[in-house]
Amino acid sequence: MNSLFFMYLTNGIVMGIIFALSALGVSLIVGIMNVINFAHGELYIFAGYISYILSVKLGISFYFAIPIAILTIFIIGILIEESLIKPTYGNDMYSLIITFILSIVLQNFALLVFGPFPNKPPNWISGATNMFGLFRYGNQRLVSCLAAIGIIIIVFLLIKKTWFGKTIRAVSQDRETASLMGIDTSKVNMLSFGLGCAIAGAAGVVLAPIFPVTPLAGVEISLIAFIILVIGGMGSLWGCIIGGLIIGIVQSFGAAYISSGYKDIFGFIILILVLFIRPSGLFGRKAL
Amino acid sequence: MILKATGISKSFGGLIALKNVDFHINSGEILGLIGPNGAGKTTIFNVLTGIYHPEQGNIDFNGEDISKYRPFEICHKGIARTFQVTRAFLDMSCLENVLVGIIGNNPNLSPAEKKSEAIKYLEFVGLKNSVDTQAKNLTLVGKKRLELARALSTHPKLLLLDEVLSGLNTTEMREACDLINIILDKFGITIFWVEHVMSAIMEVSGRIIVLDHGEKIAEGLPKDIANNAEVIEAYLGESDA
Repeated sequence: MNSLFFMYLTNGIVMGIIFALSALGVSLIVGIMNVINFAHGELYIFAGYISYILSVKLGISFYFAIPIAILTIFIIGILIEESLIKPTYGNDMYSLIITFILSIVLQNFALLVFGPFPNKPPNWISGATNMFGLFRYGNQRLVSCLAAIGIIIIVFLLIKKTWFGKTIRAVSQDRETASLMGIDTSKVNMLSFGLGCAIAGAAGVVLAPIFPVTPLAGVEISLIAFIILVIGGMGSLWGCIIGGLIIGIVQSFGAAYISSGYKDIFGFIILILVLFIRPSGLFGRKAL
Repeated sequence: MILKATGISKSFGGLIALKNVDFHINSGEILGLIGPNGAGKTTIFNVLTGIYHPEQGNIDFNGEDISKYRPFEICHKGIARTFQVTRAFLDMSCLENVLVGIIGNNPNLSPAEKKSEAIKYLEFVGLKNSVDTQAKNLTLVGKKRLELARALSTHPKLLLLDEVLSGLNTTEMREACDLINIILDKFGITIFWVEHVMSAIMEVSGRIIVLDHGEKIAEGLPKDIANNAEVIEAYLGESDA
């Protein structure tokens, strides 16, 4: 045990929490609507681009840039749901194909508009913190991690404590009965799709200062989010947190002690193990 | 008259579930609906609540044709139901289950009012001590009571009961019938009731309609229905004599 070990562990936890946040939005949409949003990663990078444009090109402080970026993605999410997802209700395969096509369209849109170069909004904070006298860790990563924890807590409170949360839990458990109790399920779908996209957007703005956005950066994020989704169990919010932490920590240790070239393979190894041992994911398919 | 259905037809592929069914429900009565398995009883409920739209016919509810409305709109108009196989939101507490009905129909109440209203209905159905129990931990009777509370919380004018008595023992049936009579008297809610337990439905209903193979074969007072030749034939099969 040396200080490097703790640095890798810290890095794994920080990345794990940020991964968890990026998977949370997909999981929420799967849990409520049974729609798998393949365009999740692209919405994530769009939020990164929006925060980049607002803060670098227009010089707006990141205190404002962040909420504007998240809100924009929320509205884009609602527009996507109303125009593309709504007509596919009742056939999961159609929505899968449509969001897959959407992700390709959005990638090329980003390539056309923003160009192939990495773009990065300025760091929120500079410097590094001495962690328990063991090693120094970048402040931006710590702040991004705290922001991610904050957003995850807000999402959990929204679902467990608010009126809107009660209706979306009811809809995710039994859509037909919820509608018979007077809940407008299409409105709930619209808002929860928007919410899921907004969480992707939140992950995007939190992560953009650490990992600059490129038109294809969303692919990797989507991939990790889907691995986490399967490991944790489709639609399970706690599964996202645990799955995210597992992937983050294993990637960090694997890259450090085995080879950083194999970084991406560790997630897939865990995925295969989980599918062997618990095919429905660690938390199974649970209601919200 | 609270509801008048005229010429309702509904088929699934080649299977005709309902064929030109007419019936009406008087305000403040308990109307019983009986019929052999597969007669179309549950389909009638699904058509009334907007889960299915009838291919033909219309449903006049308080002077408005609701046959094209969606389920939540029909719920807002004042029709609520319970299920033959209970469908409580199992991963939510009893309180939350009832709150869903209140949020769906009365979103403008303050949180405290919503909660006290929900507790009022839970107390009424006898679940006062299970307010925070997860619905999945309730007994069958408990789940049926919870469904009743949840249906009442939507402020229905017409309550559709789908075999509330199935799976209950004699004492529980007695209690359920008493509860339903109180719902009629105290809340003034009209009741449309599908039931397999003949003794109970004959005793409680004011009027009964009988379905067989998607068609209405009889309508009348319980004692007339019990002696109706066509009804006996539908239930017992044709006699050889």
